[in-house]
Amino acid sequence: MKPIIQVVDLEKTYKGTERGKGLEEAFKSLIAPKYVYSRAVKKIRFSIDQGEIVGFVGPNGAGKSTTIKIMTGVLYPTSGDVHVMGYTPWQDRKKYVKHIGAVFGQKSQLWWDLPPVDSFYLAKGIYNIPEKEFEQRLHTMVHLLKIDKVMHRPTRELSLGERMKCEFIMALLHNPPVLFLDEPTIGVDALAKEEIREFLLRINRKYKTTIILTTHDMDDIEELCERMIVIDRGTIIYDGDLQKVKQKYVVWQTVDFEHTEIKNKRKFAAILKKGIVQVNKKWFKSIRFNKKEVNVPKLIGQLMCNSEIVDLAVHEPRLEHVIKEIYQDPELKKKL
Amino acid sequence: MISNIKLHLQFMKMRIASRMAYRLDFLVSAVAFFTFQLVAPLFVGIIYLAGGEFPGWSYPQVLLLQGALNLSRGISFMLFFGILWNTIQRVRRGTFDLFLLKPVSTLWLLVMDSFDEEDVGQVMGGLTVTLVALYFLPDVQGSVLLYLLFMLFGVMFFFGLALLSSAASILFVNTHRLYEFVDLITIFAAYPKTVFSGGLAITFSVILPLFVVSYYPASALLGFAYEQGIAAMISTIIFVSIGLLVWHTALKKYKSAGG
Repeated sequence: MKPIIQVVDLEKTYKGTERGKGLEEAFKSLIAPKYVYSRAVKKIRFSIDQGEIVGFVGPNGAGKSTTIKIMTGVLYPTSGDVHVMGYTPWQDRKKYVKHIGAVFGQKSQLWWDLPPVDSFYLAKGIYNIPEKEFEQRLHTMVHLLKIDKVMHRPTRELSLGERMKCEFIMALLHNPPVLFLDEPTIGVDALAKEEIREFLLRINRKYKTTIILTTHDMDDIEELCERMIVIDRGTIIYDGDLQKVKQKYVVWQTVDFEHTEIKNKRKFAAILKKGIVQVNKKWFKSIRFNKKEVNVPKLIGQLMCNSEIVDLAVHEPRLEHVIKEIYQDPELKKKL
Repeated sequence: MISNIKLHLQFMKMRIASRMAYRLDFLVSAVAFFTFQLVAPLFVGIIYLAGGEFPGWSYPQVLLLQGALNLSRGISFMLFFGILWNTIQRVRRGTFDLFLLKPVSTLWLLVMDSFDEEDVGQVMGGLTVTLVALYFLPDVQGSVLLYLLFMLFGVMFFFGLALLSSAASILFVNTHRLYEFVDLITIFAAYPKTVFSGGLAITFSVILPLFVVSYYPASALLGFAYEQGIAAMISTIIFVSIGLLVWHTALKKYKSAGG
């Protein structure tokens, strides 16, 4: 099957000006500006199949948004090719954007002083959506996102979560095969996030909508994506299965336990020494073990033999911490 | 075509509905715009009362010229000139991106979104000045059709100015002061061509055809000779074409705001 999105050697260099501090430098810069070039995206390549939900992850300034903007036709690249559903976004922009939807978390498509329903009808006009289809889709999405009570109130009176739900409806009214999401849940409360994620999964399953998502919220990625692309300083450092990243690079496990009596103090202390003790209270301990050095299930067995365990839990690091470690550790980046 | 007109009307209705949320602000703005339109004609009236005059032009004839300026300017500001402020605001905030995600011409979308109903005050002011002038000029000898044609070119001239200003905002982001430049050059349009020296008269007729917004329509209606009027029309077409070319070139260089 041919991928729905193909990105080949995509490169984007921004031209900007740079100046020193002070008024003198400001004047100098006005007369003879010193141009600087920054490569936001460096010859990246990847492809995405229809129906995939792909998380696009990276620190601020990594090149995520630039890549999304090129893929949506908002920006021209410096070089390279992008093909989405057979279109080159920046060349066939007007025809192409009819087949995509986009939600930019910090840029609203809704009219601030009017109820969202007015903006939905404007979208109907812009995308030329037939009346029956429009009514049907609107009804379904309003029901799924539970916003029937708020869509007739002025947008300015809605909560951020309600507004974001309306943004999703705006982006999906024309039923696009590809949906680009740039930090869509930024600032949204946990309950609304949950509803939005559930909604996206339903849309993806029902219409096979391909979703490309950039976010700093790793829960979004974990809940929605099977595949993750990690970008750092304009270069892709990982592209693959989300679970594999965890399996391959998560070497730490944390064991939290509550105990009463310690049967063998010497052996118990020896077990604790195998890891890094993070919390050491009288009846509660939290210890981090390296999975490669310690057999954690065996160790738990030893703990149970040498103390009276009341409660015990084993935690894997959250994806957020894994990604943070990848960003910060150049050696880990090389391994990727 | 019909769906395009429908969409344009839908935008206008939404702009008006949106403004109706702040009724008092809308009314105050419209009244203020109307009042501002009477300042220049009153100022010229004082000159005439003091015995001064513009060579070859009576006071009601100058009023007709200023009425034409206010009308073409008011119509332009109401229908599309807001693209200047809209571009500045959207490029700075990064919301200009949203226009590029819609399957319609970005320029047309920008124009539709920039409809400014408050400027109806400017149009009413222009209409009032024109009607007062015509009251004192009951037997005008010129052509109404030609007057309307020049007015159309006047509106086109303002469109060219709006395009160039908007393009500058796409490229250089914060260009609020450009409006002052636009305002400054339209001051020249408030007086008959006969006031200006040869060089300036030719400049504003042919090179930067500013006189199509006032002098030429008034002359056509009054039955005066409108030398270089055809050249001014051609020049206006070239001016708007340059504006379109520059605007679309600027759009290709659009950088968007940081993500």
